[in-house]
Amino acid sequence: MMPRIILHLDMNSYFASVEQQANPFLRGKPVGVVATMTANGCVIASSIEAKAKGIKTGCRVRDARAIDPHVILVPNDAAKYRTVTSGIMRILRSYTEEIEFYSIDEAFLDLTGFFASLDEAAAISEKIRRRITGEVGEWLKCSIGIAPTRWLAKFAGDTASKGTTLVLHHGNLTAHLDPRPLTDAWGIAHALERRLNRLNIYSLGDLRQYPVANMMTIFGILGYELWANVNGIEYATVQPQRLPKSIGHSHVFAHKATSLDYPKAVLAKLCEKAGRRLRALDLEAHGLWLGYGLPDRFSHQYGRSGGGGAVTLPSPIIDTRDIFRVCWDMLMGDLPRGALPNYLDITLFRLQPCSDQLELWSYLPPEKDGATPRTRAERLVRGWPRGKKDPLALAVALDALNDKYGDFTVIRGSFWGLDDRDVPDRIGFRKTVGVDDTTLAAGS
Amino acid sequence: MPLPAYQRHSPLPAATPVKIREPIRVAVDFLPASRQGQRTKVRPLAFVWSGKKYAVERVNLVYKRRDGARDLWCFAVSDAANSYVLLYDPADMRWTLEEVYTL
Repeated sequence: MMPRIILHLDMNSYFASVEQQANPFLRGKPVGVVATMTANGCVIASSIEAKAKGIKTGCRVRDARAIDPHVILVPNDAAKYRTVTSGIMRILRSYTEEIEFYSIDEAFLDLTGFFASLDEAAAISEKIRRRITGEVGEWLKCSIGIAPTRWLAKFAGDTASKGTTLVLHHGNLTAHLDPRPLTDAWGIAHALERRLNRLNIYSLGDLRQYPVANMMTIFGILGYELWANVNGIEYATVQPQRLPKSIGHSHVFAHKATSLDYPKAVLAKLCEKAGRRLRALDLEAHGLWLGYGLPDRFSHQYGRSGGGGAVTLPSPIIDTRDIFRVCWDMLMGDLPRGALPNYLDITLFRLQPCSDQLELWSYLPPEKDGATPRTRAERLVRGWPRGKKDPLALAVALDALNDKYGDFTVIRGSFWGLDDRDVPDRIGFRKTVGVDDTTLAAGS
Repeated sequence: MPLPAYQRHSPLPAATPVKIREPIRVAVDFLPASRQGQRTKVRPLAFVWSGKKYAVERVNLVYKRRDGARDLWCFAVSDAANSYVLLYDPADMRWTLEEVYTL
């Protein structure tokens, strides 16, 4: 029987390395890529040189500049990272189709059946590394973990030295895993660490040796998952994902809100971006999340820093106007009276391919011009009975215009007055299904 | 009272690229694909901006930016002193000097 071989690839200091690749004058210098160029803005990626000075990913701009006044802070440029990720994905796809793109800079490859042993697979990791530096960019480095399970491969990739490969197998598992603290493990944060500490589990070795029956009694299925992961038993294998589970956008306000007009405009733009991606993917959403943050002056007054909630929708939504209407009602229902948010996020979830449900009272007439409708939304519009008002027609027409003449060429009046700094192009850290897909990449 | 640390430094980052967004003329080389499956590569050799010619020494990264359904190609290039982003719009075959980064 062929051994299971999972390879985990993790790009090192990814966004900062891409910036250093694009601009050679940044190489060898402390560089931080920031989300928003304000004192409270977050450094979303630090170069290896910045990390050596103590500027970690997640620290604020003012803190980074206090640590090193000479740190070079660059605004994030999502288009660069998407293209580079796309190049890396193209290389990875030449080895196997069983790939899970876990985030913008991480992927799992199931290489079972391609190699006789884990060590043999290690040779391919060097080739992947050479191809990335040769075909995508010479400044890009990656750590690679190879192991018989997905979890161990991730653990190996995370704990390997920068730019190296670590192979974990049952022979070296205990030596490498046992002395490590619990929080080195993927899926164990401080809250879970405290619970495990109460059971006298202080290291991954302790966890590995703890009786599985006791773990299951205390933690349920999570207990088995934790125990199986550290014992090299596959719990969740590589999961190639074809469609996104959710589509979301968020924005920390570039300006201080002085009335509800500005949050309303930002929310409208967030809804438009999410709606456009939803329609381009031919999906409909059955659930919606809205979250908001409050600035200090309101959080002190109302005793909370924000709020939010999710709803399951009575009927699926596709149209930007419907998304906005639900979001606005949720925001007005939850926002303390007199408070103004400084952050908004929306997520469409429970996504499904557009169903036939909406066609109940419509029909698809023969195409006179012979053109094939691209998406379900277009088919619905073309099939709407004459003389009836079609709620989607405007959205589809606006999408077509903005596709042809550029994003936000025609905008809704509700987000009039916003500038380039409001809800700019951003890139997500987590699951990035189809990041290299032109349809998905648009406006994400 | 001393200023907080973040106010003692310039609020502007040191590496903010200067947005230029001016049309330029670019001399390019079309490199044929070296093996099957590869695409022809476009390599900017030099560009003329405000009447002055700038030789491109290195093409550091090529990436695309989407605008609606259009792809705009960005060439991050550099010479001995500066780094530039040249933007090519295939729809109207126009080149733009998008930004300049000077040390």
